[in-house]
Amino acid sequence: MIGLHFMRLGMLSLAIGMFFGVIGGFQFLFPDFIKELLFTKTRALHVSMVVSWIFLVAIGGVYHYLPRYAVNKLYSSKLASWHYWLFLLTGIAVVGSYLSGRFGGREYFAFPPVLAIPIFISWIFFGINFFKSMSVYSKPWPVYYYQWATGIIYFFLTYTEAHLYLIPYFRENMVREIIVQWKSYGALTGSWNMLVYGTAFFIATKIGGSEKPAYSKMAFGLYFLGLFNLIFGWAHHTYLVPSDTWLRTFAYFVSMTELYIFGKIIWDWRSSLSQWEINRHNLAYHFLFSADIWVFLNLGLALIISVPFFNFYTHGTHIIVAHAMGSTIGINTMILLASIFYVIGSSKESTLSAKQTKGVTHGLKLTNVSLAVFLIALICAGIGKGILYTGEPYQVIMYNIRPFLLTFTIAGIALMLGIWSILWTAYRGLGSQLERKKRIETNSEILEVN
Amino acid sequence: MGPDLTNAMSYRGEGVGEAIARAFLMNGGNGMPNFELNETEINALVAYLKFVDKTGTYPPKVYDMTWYGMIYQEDDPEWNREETE
Repeated sequence: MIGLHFMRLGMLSLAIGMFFGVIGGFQFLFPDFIKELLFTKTRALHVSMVVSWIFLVAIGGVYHYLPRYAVNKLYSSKLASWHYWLFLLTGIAVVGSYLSGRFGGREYFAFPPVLAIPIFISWIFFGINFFKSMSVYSKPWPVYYYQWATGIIYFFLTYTEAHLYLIPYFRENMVREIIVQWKSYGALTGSWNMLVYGTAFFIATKIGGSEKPAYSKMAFGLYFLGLFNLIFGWAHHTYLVPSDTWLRTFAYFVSMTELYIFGKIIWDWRSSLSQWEINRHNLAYHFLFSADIWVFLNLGLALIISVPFFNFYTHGTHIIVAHAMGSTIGINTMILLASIFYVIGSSKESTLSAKQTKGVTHGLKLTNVSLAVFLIALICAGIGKGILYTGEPYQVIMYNIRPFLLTFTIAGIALMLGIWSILWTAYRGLGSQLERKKRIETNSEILEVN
Repeated sequence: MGPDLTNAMSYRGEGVGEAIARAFLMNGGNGMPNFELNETEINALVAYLKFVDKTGTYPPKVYDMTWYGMIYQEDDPEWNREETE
């Protein structure tokens, strides 16, 4: 049950986080919009809450799937509950600190660093539960369990790295601090991607009905390539920070190894389409298929901005924002929604009605179309700010790209409405599962007493 | 995305950048809200901007590109102009 609680908390976090994102979008265009809630606050609230959505639903999936598909039960349900409550209370403290204007951290985690401690502790609980539970799993691990394990371990390392600024040696030299900070974010997103991609592989395997692909050489090959990029692929994050040339060149070549994945997606496209024909009635597959398309488009963009020459013109522009938004919404969110609908679809208690299924499908269409407009508007704004820049003052650039920023904000509203409509059905679907389980538990307690 | 502030302190000549930065930080303007910063916070931000200014030039004005897309800047110790030409 704890997995479903994590997922529902994640959904709430996303719904509220997107709302702050839309407010922030308007504040960016009209600085007087809701003046009491400064842009510095709405931005931090938006970023931390949508990042929490990714973690919460990925973690919820691991807690939900492990005792159902890998082992008989979790190592410790109590530890998982503590993890949940620690996350929830820390989350409330973080929101409180932002609203009261108390910052202190860095990107993604702009809250006072003392609040990073409970997150570290909760992650230790998660790690213990995962590895202890899996210690009784006697078969060889399919690739998705390795991806989850890697995500858990790597989060520790990169989260630690992201807090090295607390040590004066790093903090007192701005260039050193920025190199470590920016590098750590590349690897940090890589670590949560391991959790999310593991979830995608897990669902795809279960929908496909065969475990074979999860043991294939190709799956492990791609896993190691992903791991290699996770460790060394910080290229486009640090090109412009003063650093040794060999380091930048090395990072550049590492990021280009992803061309292989890019090529493979094109190569496998035909089989993806035939799979679509087979699974078109499966709601979870709808989301996985959407994620597949966004992976292709975002990987293309990531490869372009990883070439130093293009990075030179796109760095610090809206194109980088498009890369971040496309990856977190198009890929991560689609996969996590697939995970939620897989849980709903595989349970007898929460079968969705035809009307609800139709509603979700329409919500997904609205999300995909508005996301496409959202990203195109950002890329156009980025081209205006970076590539076409000829030395005009900042105000002139902003005036020229304003129509794109307005389009981006309006598309953001549509995107929020699309995702909200999906979340509404998903939240209620998981809620009815929880209610049913609670009823069963109460009934069995009554029977025991009798 | 905000304006690039790497060389905000030296962009308009000695002392001018600091005066403009202080005016902006005290009052806001041009889309930036007034954050109601106190004197200590403003001094800290100005000191930070001065430090950043000394780390280099952005956007780089003198640079070269290799055939495979690598960029070399003038302050890069390994930059060999002949090799890239």
